Amino acid sequence: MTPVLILAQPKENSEKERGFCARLSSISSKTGQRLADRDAKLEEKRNQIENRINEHRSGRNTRLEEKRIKWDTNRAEHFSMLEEKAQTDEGKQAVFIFIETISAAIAVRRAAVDRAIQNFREGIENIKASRMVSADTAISAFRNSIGTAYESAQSECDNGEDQSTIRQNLRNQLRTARQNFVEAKQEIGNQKTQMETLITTKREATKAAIDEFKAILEQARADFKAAVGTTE
Amino acid sequence: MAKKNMAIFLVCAAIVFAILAYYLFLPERPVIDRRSGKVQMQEIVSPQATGDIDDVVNALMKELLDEESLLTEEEIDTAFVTTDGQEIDDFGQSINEDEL
Repeated sequence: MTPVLILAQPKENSEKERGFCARLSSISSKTGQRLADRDAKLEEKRNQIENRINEHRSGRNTRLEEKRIKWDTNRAEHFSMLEEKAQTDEGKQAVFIFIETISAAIAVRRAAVDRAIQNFREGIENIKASRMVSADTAISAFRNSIGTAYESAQSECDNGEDQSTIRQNLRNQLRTARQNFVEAKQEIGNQKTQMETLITTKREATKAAIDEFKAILEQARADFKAAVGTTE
Repeated sequence: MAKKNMAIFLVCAAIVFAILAYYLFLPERPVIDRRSGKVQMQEIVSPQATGDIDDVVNALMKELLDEESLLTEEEIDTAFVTTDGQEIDDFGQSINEDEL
C-alpha cells in the first residue's frame, strides 16, 4: 500500500501542474470577477459615506436655521419689553443703542460661525478626495500587477514552457503584487492628523467669534446699566 | 464584619448618589449618538422676556450654548470619512493562491 500512496501524491501535483495552462483562463477570470465585486462594494460604501455626510449636514443646516429663528423671536420679545420699560429719553436711547449693538454683534458672530462651518466642511471634502485618490491609485496598481502576472503566465503557456515553472512564477508575482498593495495601503493612512487639525481650526475660529461676541455683550450690558442707572 | 458591610454600603450609596446628582442637577450635557451622529442635548428653553437687562443677556448666552451644540455635531462627520477601510483592505483578498 505504502509505495502506491507515495506515488499517488506526486501524480496528483503533476496533474495539477500539467493542467495548469488549461485552467489559467478560468483562474484569471475568477480573479477578475473578485476584483469587480470589490470595486462595486467600495463604490457602494463611498456612496453611503457621501449620502450620510450630506444627510447629516442638511439636517444640521435645517436645525441651525430653526434655532436662529427661535432665538430671534425670543430676542425680539426681550427687546420689546426693554423698550416698554424705558421711561425717559435717556433710557430709550440706552435701549436703542443696546439693541443696535447686539443685533450687529449677532450678525457678525453668525457670519463667522457660518464661515468656520463652511471651511470645516470643505476641509472634510478635501480629505475625502485625497483619500479616494490614494486608494484608487493603490488599487489600480494592484489590478495592473495582477493583469501583468496573468498575461506573462499566458504567454509562457503559449510558448510551451514548463507548467510547474509557470505556476510558481505566477504565484510569486501575485504574492509580490499583494505585498506591494499592503504597503501602498499604509500610505493611504487614516487622515487622523489632518482631521484633528481641521477640528482644532474650526474650534479656534468659533471660539474667537463667541469670545468676541461675549465681550461686546458684557460691554453693552455695562454701558446700558451705566446709562439707565443714572436716569431711571 | 458589620462595620465592614456598613462601610461597603456607604461607599455604594455615595456612588449611586453621585451618579443621580450628575444626571439630575448638572446643566445640559451633550451625549453624542454615534449611530445617528446627532448630539442629544436637553432642549435649551428660551427664557421669558421680563424687560430686565440681565435676563436679556442671559437669553443671549443661552442662544450661544444652543448654537455651540450644533458646532460640536459637525465634528462627527470626521468619523465617517475612513469607514471604507475594510472595503479597501478586501482587494488584497482578490487573489486566491489555492486556485493555482
